[in-house]
Amino acid sequence: MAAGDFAISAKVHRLLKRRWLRAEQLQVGVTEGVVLLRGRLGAEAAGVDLDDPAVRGRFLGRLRRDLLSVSGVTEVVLDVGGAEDGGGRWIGTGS
Amino acid sequence: MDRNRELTSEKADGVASRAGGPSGLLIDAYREARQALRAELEHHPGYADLRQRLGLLHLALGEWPEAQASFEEALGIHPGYRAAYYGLRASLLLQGALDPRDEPNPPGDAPQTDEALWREIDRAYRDEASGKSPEPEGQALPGLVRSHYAAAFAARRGDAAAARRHLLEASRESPTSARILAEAGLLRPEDEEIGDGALEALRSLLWLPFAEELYGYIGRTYAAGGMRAEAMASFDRAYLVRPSGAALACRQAEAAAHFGEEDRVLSLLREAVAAEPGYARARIALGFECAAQGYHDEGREQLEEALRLAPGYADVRYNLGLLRLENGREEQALELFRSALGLNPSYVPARHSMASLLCRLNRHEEGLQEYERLLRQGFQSADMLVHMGRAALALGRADEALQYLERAGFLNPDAPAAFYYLGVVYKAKGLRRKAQCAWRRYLETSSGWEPLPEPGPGGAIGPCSGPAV
Repeated sequence: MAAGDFAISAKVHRLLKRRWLRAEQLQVGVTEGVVLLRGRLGAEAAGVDLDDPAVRGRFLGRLRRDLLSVSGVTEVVLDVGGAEDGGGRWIGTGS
Repeated sequence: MDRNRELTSEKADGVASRAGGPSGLLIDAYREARQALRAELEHHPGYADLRQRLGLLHLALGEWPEAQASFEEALGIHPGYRAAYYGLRASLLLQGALDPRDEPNPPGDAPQTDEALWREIDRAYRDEASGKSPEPEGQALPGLVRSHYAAAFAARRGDAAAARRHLLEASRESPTSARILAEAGLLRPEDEEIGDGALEALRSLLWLPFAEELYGYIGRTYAAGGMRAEAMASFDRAYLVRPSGAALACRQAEAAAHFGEEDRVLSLLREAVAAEPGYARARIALGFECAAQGYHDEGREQLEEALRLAPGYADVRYNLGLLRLENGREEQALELFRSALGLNPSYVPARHSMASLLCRLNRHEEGLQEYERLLRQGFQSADMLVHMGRAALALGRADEALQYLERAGFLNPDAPAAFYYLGVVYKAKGLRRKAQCAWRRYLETSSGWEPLPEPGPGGAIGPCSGPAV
């Protein structure tokens, strides 16, 4: 069911802004409640070292939880490099 | 915090107290920015925009040779990068390493929107380098920009009276300029001259229009550190070097969003659109914010207008496609997805949504072809593979469906739909034991899921509708 994908997309864009992510360098999509983020993960503010693997892992984990808490989101696919969680749920094509 | 003191006393290294933080806790936004950019460049050495930002940072800190190197590296990666070209020229002029008679001859064929302005500022720096009194009053400059830059170059040559005269012009022309100049202590109407501190503050800014990007970045760094006043002062600096009320309001909206001030975000973005109705980025930001806050009509109107203003933005086309889809206008949605892909064939979300919609419209063969293109682009997800499996099932191609679904189950062992459809295919192929295993896994992973819908038409083997992954 596609109902709500635009509303979800708007909320995802808003969430990315609040996390200081450079939305211009990310492709953001929603298909039937599945959120897709693809591209380069960069911060719009210094002080968030997204290239440190540990920081990046924690950041992505929080981001995924936040995205899943958006009403209507059933799954999150992060194709941003370094997003593997060991369970195969996310995929990363490398930076 | 006293904004006046903050703007005029901030050293080039940008150290400021963290408002509300423990006593003595300092944040050096410029140092943090330098470290962050260098770290990011270690991992992404081929990103020209990062080198450009680092070049601007070096320029702002008076590190001309380092700035030169960064701009040269940016141009080495992207020879048509015109802001880097003008940044390089500024760094060379400031070092005295460029003949002031050397007119700019930027690479590439596509002038930037602000290029006339950049060229005029370049001329002012060349005049300054050749000992003339630069008065950036060329026809190319809009009045407010001209006033700001005329004041800046007057301050650079120590002409306090001329600097004051031009600041007064700016102040008369724009209430935003008047507010910022007054709060920063750069212009007090009761004073006949501006003081040494104000002159120094004017001189300390990086007077290049595209330096607004750096001051925005520094401002966001302050905001991320909880330092609202410092963030606002940095956004004001961005405005001084490129006086756009709309861009200023957008930056303030970002900070308001960070501080959880939802109503203020909306009012600032509306202010940005009112200040500059042709500023597509402001309309996009307002469109998403409105839609996210439940003001759907206004959100749609803003995105429609953004598309009219900037027809080359694939993401706006894509999102309007999603909106059409919500309104049941599938053909219009398909057209928008297609046009987004026409602008950017690598735009994965548009192809993904288009493939999904084609399958929903029972155009499984076309949908499958689009999904296959995504696979060839190097993209895959369990969700997508399940959709591909369902499409293959609907086309009666059980072996192909099996490949997709097994791959989906491998990618995400917790994807209930993958195992449900695997069970369907195994059973149809007479593999009862495998079907039982797959359905057991489906039951293990599907707690809390909606009951499965009735099987859809068209499939020779099984359903073509079912739960999301």
